[in-house]
Amino acid sequence: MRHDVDLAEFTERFTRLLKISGLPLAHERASMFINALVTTEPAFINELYWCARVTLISSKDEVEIFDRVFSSIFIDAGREMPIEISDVSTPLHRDARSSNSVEAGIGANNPLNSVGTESLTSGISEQDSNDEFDSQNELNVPMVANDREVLRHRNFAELDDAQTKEMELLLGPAAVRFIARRSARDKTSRRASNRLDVRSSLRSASRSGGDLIDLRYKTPKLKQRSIVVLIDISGSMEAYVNPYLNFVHLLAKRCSIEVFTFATRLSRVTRELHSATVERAIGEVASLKLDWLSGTTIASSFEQFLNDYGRRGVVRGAVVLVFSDGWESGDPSFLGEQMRRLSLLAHKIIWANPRVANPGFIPSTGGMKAVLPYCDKLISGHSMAALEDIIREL
Amino acid sequence: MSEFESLFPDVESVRLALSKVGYLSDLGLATALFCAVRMGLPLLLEGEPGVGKTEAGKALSQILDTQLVRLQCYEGINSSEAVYEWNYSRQLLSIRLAEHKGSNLVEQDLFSEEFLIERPILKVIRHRGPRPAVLLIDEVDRSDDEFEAFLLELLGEGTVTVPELGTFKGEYPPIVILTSNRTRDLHDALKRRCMYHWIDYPSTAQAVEILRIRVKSASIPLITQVARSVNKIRGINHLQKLPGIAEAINWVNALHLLEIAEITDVRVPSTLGFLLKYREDQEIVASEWEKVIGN
Repeated sequence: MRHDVDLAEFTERFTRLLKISGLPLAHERASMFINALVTTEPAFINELYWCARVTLISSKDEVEIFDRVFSSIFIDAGREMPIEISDVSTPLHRDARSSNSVEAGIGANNPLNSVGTESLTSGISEQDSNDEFDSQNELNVPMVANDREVLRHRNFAELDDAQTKEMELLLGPAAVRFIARRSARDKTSRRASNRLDVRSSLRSASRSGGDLIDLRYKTPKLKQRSIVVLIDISGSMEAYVNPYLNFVHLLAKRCSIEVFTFATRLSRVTRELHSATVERAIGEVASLKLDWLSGTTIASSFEQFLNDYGRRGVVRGAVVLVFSDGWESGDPSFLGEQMRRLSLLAHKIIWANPRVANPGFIPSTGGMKAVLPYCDKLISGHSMAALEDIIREL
Repeated sequence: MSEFESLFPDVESVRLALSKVGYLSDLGLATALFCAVRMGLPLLLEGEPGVGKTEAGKALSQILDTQLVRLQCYEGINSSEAVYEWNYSRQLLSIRLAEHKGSNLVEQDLFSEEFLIERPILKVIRHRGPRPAVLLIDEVDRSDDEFEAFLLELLGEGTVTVPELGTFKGEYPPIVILTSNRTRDLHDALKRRCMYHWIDYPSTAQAVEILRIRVKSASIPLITQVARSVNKIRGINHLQKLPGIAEAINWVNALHLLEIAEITDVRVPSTLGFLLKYREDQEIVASEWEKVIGN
């Protein structure tokens, strides 16, 4: 880095561009980056690249965005070091959210602008459809306090405020007791067991002048099993996706949970679902570039899930909850194989299928047939009462 | 730090030193380690199992010629195992002794440094030099998220606080390397205090170099064939666990021990257990064996 480039300004612009492109950048990182530039004095572009990458990103998932922004500035433009970047980012502001200003800022052929606008517009359109969904139901459904039963068994395609409230009640603090397992941690108890807690016993002895009056024992703590939720967001599940996200958002407040969506590919949405309000959470999920309402290849999504997350520890000993109608466009036997792998890792698999409630339902679709031998429980996921069944299983 | 400045003036010198102790790194990892040493910032290493994350920490301590303190994380690890613990039995004896002598023992005497048991983190903070110790916090994702909070003070300020005694700040702040297998997301608070590097699988050429250094007695043609096959195996669809460089080293060792000189040898498929740890994976690779060993 030559000194004719103002480091602070250069860093400011570069990090701003990264932020606009969707990289969550903690403010310490910029100073780390400057510090690294000064220490390493990169002379070539690949040295600068590693200097920036090591200090500016904090997860493998961010590499893709980082690479795109970096190459759009330093490589596509074919510039040599030191780089003049003033012309690249000048008109960019954080509020420059319309496609026009982004385009004007970076140039029409820049990969950045397509990314920015695409994700923004998809977010907006999803949001719109959510609003439509809500308002329509508010109009159609008369709410009476005593038709609780009716509400509870009404199909979700008509979720309304009352049902949302009901859902909150259902998952209220006192309502749920999750499946527990023995933890590696111990707690002290006065009840005799075969393991003496020396630390605590001595501590109590020091209070009585060094005489061991009462002995303390160790018993293993109980820990709630983590819950892993897989939500099918393909076209055939359209009506149910929002209520399920709603349900899972409430669940996320109560327990340790990992959430994934799938249709043709797998996406992790845990972070988005931990937003404060359900509207925000669903909005955040909607703004992700997910494979909404496309076809379903459950098997390959599950394979991806098991390879990237499950096997590493996410589902080990966890309770797995799948929301899907089991309509598989791929080979059912391959799906069976993935389910077998899943069942070897998970403590329990609960499959919620909204079609189960249909009169005369038999799990005849190839996918459902392949899945059933490995499910501990098949539940209809179509109504509030069904969700209550699910909670009882968690 | 000035000693390191003369020892490692640039990234390339770190890379060279690493290769001298048998650890081959690319520019990315060398940059990350260089910055960790020179800037004194903690470094978070992530990557698939078996790409050499832990080895990187060990190699770093070797090239700095300093003590390596390794803290293996596990579920349930807490500060009394990682930071410090009071020596309770000794405290108790002191109370008894004071009683016998009839001397006056105040609580402050009981909670002084002589009753403190050092665990790894306190140990590196109180390290006496001549160079900072390397603290390797291995598989931090295995610990509970409460434990991450214990680490924040160390990572941010390089200090450790014992409530009864005050804050310890070392003369030689440790160089901290964390590794994670991504079994869960680490907290943002932890991540933002660290630099980050993702270690990828090595390319075929890199793998050849690594295998040559690690299995000195094996023949070059065999090593080249193994490196190429392992890379091809990683490209096969539907494998549950891709072989890392650690598995490749084991495999070459096994082939060498069995005096197998060529990967086309009929005995090779029966040694796949060194490389692939799932029966299903072995079956898939065996069914595509011709492709794996072909040119």
